[in-house]
Amino acid sequence: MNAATISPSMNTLPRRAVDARIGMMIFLASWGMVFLTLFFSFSIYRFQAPVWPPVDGPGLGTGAFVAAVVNTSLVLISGMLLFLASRSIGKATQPRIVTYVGGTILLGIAFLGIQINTWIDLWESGVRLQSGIYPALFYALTIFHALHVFAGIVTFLFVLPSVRALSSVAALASNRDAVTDQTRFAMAAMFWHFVAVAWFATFFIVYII
Amino acid sequence: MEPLIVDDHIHPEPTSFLAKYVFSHDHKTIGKQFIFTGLFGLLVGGVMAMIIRWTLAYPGEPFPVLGNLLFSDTNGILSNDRYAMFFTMHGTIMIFFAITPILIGGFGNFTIPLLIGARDMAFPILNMLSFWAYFIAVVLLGLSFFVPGGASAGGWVAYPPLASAQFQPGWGHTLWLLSIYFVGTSSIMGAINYITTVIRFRAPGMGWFDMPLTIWGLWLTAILNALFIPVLTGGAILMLLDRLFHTNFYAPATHGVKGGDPILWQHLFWIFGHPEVYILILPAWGIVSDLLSFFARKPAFGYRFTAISMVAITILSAVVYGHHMFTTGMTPMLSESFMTLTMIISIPAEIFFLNWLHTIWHGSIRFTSAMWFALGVVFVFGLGGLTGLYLAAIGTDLYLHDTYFVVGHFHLTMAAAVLFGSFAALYFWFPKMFGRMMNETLGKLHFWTSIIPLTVLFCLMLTVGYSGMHRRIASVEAYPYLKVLQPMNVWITISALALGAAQVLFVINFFYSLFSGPKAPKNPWDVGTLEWSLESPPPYYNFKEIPPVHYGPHEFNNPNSKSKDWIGQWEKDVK
Amino acid sequence: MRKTKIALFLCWLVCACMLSTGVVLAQNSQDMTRSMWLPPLDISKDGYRSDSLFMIVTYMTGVLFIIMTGIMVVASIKFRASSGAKAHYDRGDTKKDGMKGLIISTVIFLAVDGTLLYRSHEDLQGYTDREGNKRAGVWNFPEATKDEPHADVLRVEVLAQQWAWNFRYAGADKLFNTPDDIVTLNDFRVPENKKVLVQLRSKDVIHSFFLANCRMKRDANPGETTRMWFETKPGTAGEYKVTCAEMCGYAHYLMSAQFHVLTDAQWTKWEAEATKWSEIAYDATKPDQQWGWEWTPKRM
Repeated sequence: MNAATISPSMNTLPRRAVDARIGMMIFLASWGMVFLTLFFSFSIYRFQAPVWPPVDGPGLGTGAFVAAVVNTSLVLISGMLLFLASRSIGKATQPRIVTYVGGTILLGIAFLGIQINTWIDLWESGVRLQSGIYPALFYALTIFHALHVFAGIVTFLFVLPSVRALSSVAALASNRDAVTDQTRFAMAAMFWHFVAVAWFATFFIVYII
Repeated sequence: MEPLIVDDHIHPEPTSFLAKYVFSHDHKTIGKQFIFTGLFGLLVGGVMAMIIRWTLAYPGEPFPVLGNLLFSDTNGILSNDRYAMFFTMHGTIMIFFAITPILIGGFGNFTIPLLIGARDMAFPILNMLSFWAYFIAVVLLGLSFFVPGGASAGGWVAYPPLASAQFQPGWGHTLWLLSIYFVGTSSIMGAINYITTVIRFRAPGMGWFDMPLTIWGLWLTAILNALFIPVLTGGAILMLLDRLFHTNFYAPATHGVKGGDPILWQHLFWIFGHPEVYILILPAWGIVSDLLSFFARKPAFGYRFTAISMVAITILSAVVYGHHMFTTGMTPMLSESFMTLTMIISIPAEIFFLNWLHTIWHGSIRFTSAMWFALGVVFVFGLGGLTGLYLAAIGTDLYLHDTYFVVGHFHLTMAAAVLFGSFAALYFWFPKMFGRMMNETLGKLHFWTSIIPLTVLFCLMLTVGYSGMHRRIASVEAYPYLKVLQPMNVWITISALALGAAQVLFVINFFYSLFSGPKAPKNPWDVGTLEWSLESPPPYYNFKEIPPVHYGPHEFNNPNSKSKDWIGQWEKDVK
Repeated sequence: MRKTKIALFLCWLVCACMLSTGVVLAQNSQDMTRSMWLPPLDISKDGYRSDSLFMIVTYMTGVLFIIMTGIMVVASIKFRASSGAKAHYDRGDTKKDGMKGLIISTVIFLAVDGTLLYRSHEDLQGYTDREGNKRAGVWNFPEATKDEPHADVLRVEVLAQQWAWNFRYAGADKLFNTPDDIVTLNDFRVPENKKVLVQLRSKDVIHSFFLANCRMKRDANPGETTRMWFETKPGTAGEYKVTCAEMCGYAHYLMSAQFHVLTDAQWTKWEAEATKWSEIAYDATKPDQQWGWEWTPKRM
């Protein structure tokens, strides 16, 4: 199977690959509503409060903000790497797709590491789930999001064999299930991009407004 | 997008018991699993309803037979705390564990691939997981009855702070939340399947407006499920954190507690809750629209307009939820906007009521059990829909809110109409599902013994509500002005018991026909939708060749067809 | 076929007997202090609006329902296949059919829902009553309270709790949460023919302050204040009930308060007595006695 038949354009993809993409889009739209619900709740608390963060609870401090900015850039870079990865399929001149995906996984792990570090720091400085509505929302949103990052990493590890089978023109030429492999990679990538967008929104909601 | 021809291979049917009946990927088996679970839920929820009614009509008297079995510690009497638990669980079970599995899980799975000419759902494994996620939900809810403190008892709407750990300690309500979470997951998985299947797997030649209206109803339901169940999931996550980790999302800012907002749950719940009403009723509308046409031997009048009205209602349903909250202290501006939006729903609703009536007018009506039940839906939904007007208008809602009038109204729409829709669907598709015919005489007897007590039951509920009786009270003893209503309450209870007794006819009919009903022919009803071109029951992979579609689903008495009064969607040259 | 018909007839007969027994049973009920088919006695000046709106909706939807059922019954008799009726092939999907449906629906919408919307809007924002007096509308607090602090307005703070109602009257100084407040438990007293403004809060869970005789209810939420107002008609002095309409725990069904509407003379007498008793009962050291709040005029 050559590269032309598995180009990402929906019109030329085989049937099952399109089904999978549509299913994934519906899932992401649906799951996005959970995030939207949490954001909506956050906004309600935010705009009902006379001052923010509320005076009766601790704030997050600059350390957490710096960590979040770093994390935002990590998410941004990982998204770009994935984009490059999907562009590189079937092209001889590009670095191997495995490198890109590996980079994404590492960035994801770094993201989780920074998140966990932030939580531990805050927890030890007395910012607990119970200590007020703002910390509670912070933990709820970031932990809920981090679970999705974790799920994204697991998904990528799960599809690594497929990614390797797509890694070069030679591998692609001998690959009889190239469509399945590319669909698997595309699914994982879609989920990762979704989690990235969710992070940008979380960052905006928790730290900016 | 033009539908394509499916390039799937036909796999052989699995032979092991587990793969064939338990962890089956086949949409027909999964549908049946859902239907049996749903019927079980209906039985449990129904018995609970009767015990609740008994307590209201005959306070202090033990419920016959079952009472001593269930409540031996209170001499067979339903105590007040158990009363609260029972009506909470009655609501939860009926909505999430009876109606949802029968109509959406069961008939959704069974009919969608068959009616659009597909071999299976788009994602069969996901479909199987959907049932087992649902099964976990059933187990969790069942478990919650046996934990210390008993099951959730704050009403099925679970308004905090009543649903918080402070006022409902123990695992009952936590298990309820987890159960709802699993139901939600199951519904989302189902919805992904339904939406994708309908978009992608329609037989060649079947455009959007060649689909049976059943499919329209189920498809729109799936969209609402995919978009609004997650709102409940999100709200439930916050409530779970409140209960398990003592956060204050829904705790009010009193007694020096750092506060959240208890009203937020109401918003989240009803953002989900109002679409949920349409999630439940849309499949029933679709099925009724089809059945009226099938048995009146006439095309569904204004098919396109019915479908468009259903789409309009789906969209409107997302923006009217505020009418559940008129008394909470929402601003008058917002309340009046919600009132106006709510009333706009009556335009599309009237359009398809007109279309239903126009379909049977000048027909040649065959009164099968399925047709009786379909007509029954039009009748009870007419009653239920019109009583909705009293509750949409704030002027009357301020008096009627949280009274039995509301109970009567939503039972007529959500319970009676949906229940009758389910029965119509069961009587109609039973031959295709199990390969045997149901007994028509028993079926008609079941209809008449159901609709009369049912109408009396819920109309009297409207009346006691109008007379001022409020909801969720275990007895009227504290209220002199409600004691007058006691004979009416007794009569509601008698009707409820009669309605329950009538279902015995159905159970007998169902199981007798399942095992020894007469063998069903290919097309017992002379109907032209695709599933009737198959054997009864259909083979494992449904269609050996995907039939190209040449006609709409309701071609009855078409002047071009001389030999018979119906045209199959699969037929090419009709003479 | 004949057997089926006999079975159906018998079934009808049984159901009809049940139905008529029920009606007879209902008619012969003892303790008939009021009709069970009608709402409790209306004692508020605005309550008749709710009742008449109810009747308007009943007439309009009743006509629609009778037409709908009539068409179904006639169609079921006239167009039976067993009587040899021939079906017309009519898809009804022309533009004309669609327009017809839309026009009929819109006309019904404008006539029925339009009336409801207009009437409800009036009920909430102000209308002219049967005698030609301007009424403020049940949710129009700025209009209803513009004469505040007028002597003709009685202000009451209500604190709901599991499963009782606490009432607080400002007393002589017209200020809440002061020692001269009148505080009662499950005893709500108002003078007849006087505007009563109520502010509601809850101590624990959500309750709903329901005056069935005034056709009015409002939720009492923890952590925020809600409000409602009503005005009783002259000559309605008597004993009624305050009920809680929102599920508030397993003793929800017991949560009620006496609702006394007093004549002016009775009111003056009670106010004086209650002030005396409340002053005796007042104890500055008990924090749960100080549950009152500063009257918050701007909030809903």
